[in-house]
Amino acid sequence: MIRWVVLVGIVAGCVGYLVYSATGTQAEYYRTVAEVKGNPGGADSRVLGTVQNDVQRLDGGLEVHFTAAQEGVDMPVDFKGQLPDIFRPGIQVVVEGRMGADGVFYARTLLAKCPSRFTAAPAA
Amino acid sequence: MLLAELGAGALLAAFALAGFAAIVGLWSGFRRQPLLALVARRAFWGAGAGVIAASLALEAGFLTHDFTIYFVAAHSDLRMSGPLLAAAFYGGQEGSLLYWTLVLSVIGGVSLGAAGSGRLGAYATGVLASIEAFFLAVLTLVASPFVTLNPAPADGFGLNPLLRDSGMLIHPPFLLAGFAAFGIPFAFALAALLAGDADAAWIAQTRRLALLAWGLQGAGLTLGMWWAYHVLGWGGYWGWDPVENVALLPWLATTAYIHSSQVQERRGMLKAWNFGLVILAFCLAVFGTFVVRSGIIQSVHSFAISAIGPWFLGFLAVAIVVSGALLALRAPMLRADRRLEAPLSREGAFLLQNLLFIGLAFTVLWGTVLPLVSGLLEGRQAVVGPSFYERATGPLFVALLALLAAGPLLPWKRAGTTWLGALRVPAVIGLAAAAGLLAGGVREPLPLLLGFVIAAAGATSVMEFVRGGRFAARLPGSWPAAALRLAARNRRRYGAYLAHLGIVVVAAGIAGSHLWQQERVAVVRTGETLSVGRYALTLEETSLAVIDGNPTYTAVLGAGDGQLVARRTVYPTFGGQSATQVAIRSTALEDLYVVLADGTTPGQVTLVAFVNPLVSWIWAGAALLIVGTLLGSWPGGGREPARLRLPASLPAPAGGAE
Repeated sequence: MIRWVVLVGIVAGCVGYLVYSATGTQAEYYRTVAEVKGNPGGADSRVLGTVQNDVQRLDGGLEVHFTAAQEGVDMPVDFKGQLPDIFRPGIQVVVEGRMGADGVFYARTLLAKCPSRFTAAPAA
Repeated sequence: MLLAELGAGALLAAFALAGFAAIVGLWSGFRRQPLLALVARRAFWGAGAGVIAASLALEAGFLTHDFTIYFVAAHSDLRMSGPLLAAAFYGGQEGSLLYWTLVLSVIGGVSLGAAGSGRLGAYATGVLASIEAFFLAVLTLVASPFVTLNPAPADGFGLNPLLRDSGMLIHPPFLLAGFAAFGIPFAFALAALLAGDADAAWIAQTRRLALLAWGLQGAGLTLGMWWAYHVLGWGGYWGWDPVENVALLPWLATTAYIHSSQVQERRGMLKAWNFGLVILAFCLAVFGTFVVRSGIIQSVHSFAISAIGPWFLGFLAVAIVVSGALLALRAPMLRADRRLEAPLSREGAFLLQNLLFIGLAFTVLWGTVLPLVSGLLEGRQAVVGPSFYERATGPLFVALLALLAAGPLLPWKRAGTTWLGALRVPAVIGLAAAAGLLAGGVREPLPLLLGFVIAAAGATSVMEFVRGGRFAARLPGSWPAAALRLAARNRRRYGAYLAHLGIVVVAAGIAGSHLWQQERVAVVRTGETLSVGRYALTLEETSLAVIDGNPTYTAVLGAGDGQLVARRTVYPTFGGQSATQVAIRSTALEDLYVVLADGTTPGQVTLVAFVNPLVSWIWAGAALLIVGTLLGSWPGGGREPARLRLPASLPAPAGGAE
């Protein structure tokens, strides 16, 4: 019986260690736009914001500048890469990256959150 | 308006009948009254008839563009027709829930018919009717698909462009059916616990139903991956998003169950554990629905966030408390017939497999709920992305593949030294694969390790067929006929090994596309060339046409001796949202995958080109997995002839697959 307890313990311990270490190294905190602006040059963070009406596409759409706003605070964002299909002013995006010394948030990744339903805006 | 009234009325009648069936079913089980059990079963069927009638009314509403029904107006428009219009049925929350209830009623009704009017059948009717009554309560009280609009709009809002794809026709129905079907083995397991007694036939029926739910969910997950890959245009197929994760969780728990139930069947052990796994799978399915629909965890998928969240949370709490209490109450009945002997045995391999799968499920669950947990404990939300899942689950997947190579060769009870001899073949083939990769210029340890375990696991699975083929050669009659007869008679065994082989092929596809994906992004003018991998893509022509009122950009690319056509359509009615139509050239070894990115103008396009190695292996392996599951679960089939067994497994009783 002891052998079985040891076996279960070893597997549980391994899984626990994997989860613990991966959480420690890979978890990112959501920060607010205000927090990120107050702490430029800090570690990588993940920010939720609404895309404003000033989207500028450069380089054939491979780079984009826009302003992301959250709770009345806004910040300029720069992102290089392929944009999600549904990216447009008014949607919410989650950007991961860091705030540069120039006050621009350089996003490594940009995820678009679909508008609140998977349907058309009523007669928008 | 008439359809809405009919549908709402049918749902209400079904709700009343399901509630009646729940009470009478449980009571008849408690009082051992077969007549009342029959009444409960008929009431359950009556409720099912009501659900079918409501579904037909909603479907008729879509097909006749009856925009007095809000759900129809919100998810379709006059320009939609044919299969896509019919599929808009489950394009929104209320319809999805109705479809879920429909699947539960139909599969549940059929399995109850086979279960009979005994005590177990009565309890199973009571539990299934309770689940059905819950869904019908939500459908009648909180999220009715038959809310009406007055006056009716002239046209509907239409279906989101991302859903206008043939994948929409098949992916959601399978996944939702899988989710719904987990309720049926749960009801059968709970019936056994309520009755405090279950015969082998009842346990076997529970396992078959779990296998059905598992197969449906597996097909739904695969189709979801296929859809994401072919429609969304990001070059991948699995993003570890919460919505994907919660669909995976019950599948993982049931994968553990269909293996550990073998230990119960053959050796009379792990009974309580098996009940726990069936209950866990159902609770995870309900939890998943709660997470997805309540919006408490942010996802890139969007569903209507609605009032049904608390209802599902309450239902989940009741399910956990009731089944947990029953499991504790029946612990004496669930004592093992005998003790586990040695860890190095088939039982030990199954137990390790179970621990690894539960570990996987825990890891995925942890990553999914981390925002909630950290939000509660720390006051701010931490989130994890794909890198977390890769790091935390990668070693578990590797261990599982190694187990897939070694486990099926282990004899029951206790492994002797012959087992080490049987390991030789997979070990040699695994080493050969690793050496082949090394010769091909691969130097990193991870691909070499993956090559080794995948090839070894494949060898173990194939060896089983080779052994069967050799055996068939000694049987009378022609070899193909003998082999087919052998396979048909031992369908559970060969179905299982076919499924293992499918998993190995899927693993190779995932490893290949993960390790060696190449991506190039560039702005290209007409006549210019973009290179990716060994391909040179030349932009031959661009065009812009308006199709159905939607501007559509087209880029024609020359690639070697053929052409690739990538498109992007803008949908002005969806706020200018655009959707891509990916150009994919698929071969056995790799896919060339080209996306026309947003920001395209005539004469100049932005291209994202991927070379995705071995992706087609994922689809092929999944097909093998499904064929194997169907073969293995096909009713009938004899017991395995004693002659076929491995010498090392001779002490074990005959029958069963791994």
